[in-house]
Amino acid sequence: MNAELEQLLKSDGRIWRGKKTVADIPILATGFPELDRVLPGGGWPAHALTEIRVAEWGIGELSLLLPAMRALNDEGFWLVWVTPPFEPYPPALCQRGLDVQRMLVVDTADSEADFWWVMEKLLRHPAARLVLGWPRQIRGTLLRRLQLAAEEGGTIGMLFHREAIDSTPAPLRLALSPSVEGLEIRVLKARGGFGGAVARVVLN
Amino acid sequence: MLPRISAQRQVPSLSEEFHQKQSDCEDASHWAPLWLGVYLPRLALEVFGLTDERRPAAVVTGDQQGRSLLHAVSASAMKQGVIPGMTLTSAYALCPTLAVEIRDLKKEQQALNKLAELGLAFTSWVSLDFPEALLLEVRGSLALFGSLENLTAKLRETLCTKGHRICCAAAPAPLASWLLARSGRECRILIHEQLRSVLGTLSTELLDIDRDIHDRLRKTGVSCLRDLWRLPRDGLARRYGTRLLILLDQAAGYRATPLRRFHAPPRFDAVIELPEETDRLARLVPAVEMLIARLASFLIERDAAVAEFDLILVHREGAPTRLRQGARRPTRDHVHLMRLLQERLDCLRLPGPVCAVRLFSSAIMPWTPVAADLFVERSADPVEWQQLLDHLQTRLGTGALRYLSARPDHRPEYARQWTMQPQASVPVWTVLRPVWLLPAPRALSPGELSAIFPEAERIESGWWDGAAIRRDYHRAVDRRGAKLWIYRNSESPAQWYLHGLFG
Repeated sequence: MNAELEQLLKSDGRIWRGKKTVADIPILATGFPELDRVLPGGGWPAHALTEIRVAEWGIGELSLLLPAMRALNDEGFWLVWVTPPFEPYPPALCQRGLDVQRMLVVDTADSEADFWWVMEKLLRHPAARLVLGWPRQIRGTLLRRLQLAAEEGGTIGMLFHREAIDSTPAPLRLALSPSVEGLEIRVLKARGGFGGAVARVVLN
Repeated sequence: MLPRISAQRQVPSLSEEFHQKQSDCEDASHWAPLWLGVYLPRLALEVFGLTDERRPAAVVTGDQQGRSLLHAVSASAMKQGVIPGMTLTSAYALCPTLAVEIRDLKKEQQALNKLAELGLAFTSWVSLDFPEALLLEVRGSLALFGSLENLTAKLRETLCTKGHRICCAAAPAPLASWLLARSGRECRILIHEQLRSVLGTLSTELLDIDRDIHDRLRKTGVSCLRDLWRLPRDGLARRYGTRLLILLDQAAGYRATPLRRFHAPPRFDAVIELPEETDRLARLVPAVEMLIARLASFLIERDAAVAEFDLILVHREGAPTRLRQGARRPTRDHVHLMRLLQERLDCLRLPGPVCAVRLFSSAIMPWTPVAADLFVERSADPVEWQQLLDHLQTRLGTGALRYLSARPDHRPEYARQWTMQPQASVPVWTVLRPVWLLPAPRALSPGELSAIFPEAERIESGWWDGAAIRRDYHRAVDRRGAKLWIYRNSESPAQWYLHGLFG
């Protein structure tokens, strides 16, 4: 939709539009126009928790986040990995233009309680702008706490898991599955938008 | 009548006092400072624990030309002809079993600081201004210890228990005492006038001046200080610089040598006795809070910060429970310190009831506030970030927080590094690497892969350190769509191994 039309529609208060545009929520561009189009506000919600369900580790879930990571890294924010399933490989991160000096890996040694505690502490702090977490188990009440922490700290929390759960309090829920040349992203739930949209992105 | 008599009586007593003062002025050396030079001839070896007389050992330093020269040599190596100043290669030629360490000035300084603290038991003025030596002003302590001999003997006993060998010499000028101690001549000179005659026979090699000047002096035939004193002063200054003259004057006591005083670093130590023994941690918390508040005010008074401290819970029976707590950045924020301790106390199991709580810290350092960035307006507070990391680390344990860095190595396993502090990375790779690396390569069964891309990267490296690899890396996709980084060894091309995921 072009900008002039958008302006015209906004200027008249009598016009009601079925799909409400969420212009006021802060976002962070994903770096993939196809994905931006289906996400409410046109990017990752910047002060919220995002839940990403993947069919299998390694199908491209991190490649999807790399442009956002780069943007935050360039601004000097910290990027924290909490209990990743494998080791993040520094040479690869360097090759993709990330500053590994601003990355921290936190290991909670199998303790579920510590995982949620660490996530909440980090999300509440504005220096760790992006916190990636790999929980053993998704629990709704704890997710709500994380969402509140992310709102308060103005940070982005990303939770990766492989479980098929119907509903959680996370404002944005995505399901990723591999496609021929990249990823197929299904929006399971989006605040201020409808679920069910599908985007296909090409990853190199 | 009466006043006259009293006046008469007073006169002799006054004159006596006057005479007394005059004689004191004549014997001014009674009041002038007397310096005890304590030279540690083997300090460089002692800090590495190379004190065994039977084992030949040496400590080397680099010179300007990049050669390794021996700085200190143990007695047994000396017997085999190895001497200080020799190059390492010639030393090895004489003594192949020589144990060698690189000189560590920091360790030496730490050792000297510790000894200086011990020295404070003998005098209030200990100086570390001379290399490898302590200088003690002992005039004021002579009465306490009875004599200089007693004092020296006690000092020697104290330092020898710490494993140090010392040479002591006393002189009214600090440089003179250091030179005598360094030469190994354990003598005592009490008056200035004797200085020149005793020092005269010392070698000029002892003076702390440039190597080049030593060489030139030797070539002119000057070998001892007496030779130097005999030369005309203006010529000496012109040829060898004024510093040599200044040193000569300082040695002979013609010129004062200003020396800095060593001050023992501040320590915090406070104990609170509990009104009754308790094994409930909740009852301990108020006492700990009180101690932390005391520590914080102690630090603020001295404009200092604490890097590490011990909380010691004293039990009536058995050894005390000791919690050592550090901070990433020296701090004096009592809220932060209390938060960290609370985290430690929460997961503590007490062996028995606690009767007293003690807080002790010797790691107290100057407080350096963080400079705010002028141009970045809305940046997060770096101090708060460090405090958060402290908090995480305290709860999760020391190894829980790790930073990543890359090392320039072609072998994938060796190209990454986990560090406790952020480190700069030097990327050298051209072919794209996977974002995930498996902790160890996993053998793949043939059915798992659905496609293997034909482009291969041969990595062959590491023949020099025993971990040689020769692998062909390919990209592949497995049945469930994960993008893999796999390899096969060139010896067994049938077996594939999974090493990374492109994530």
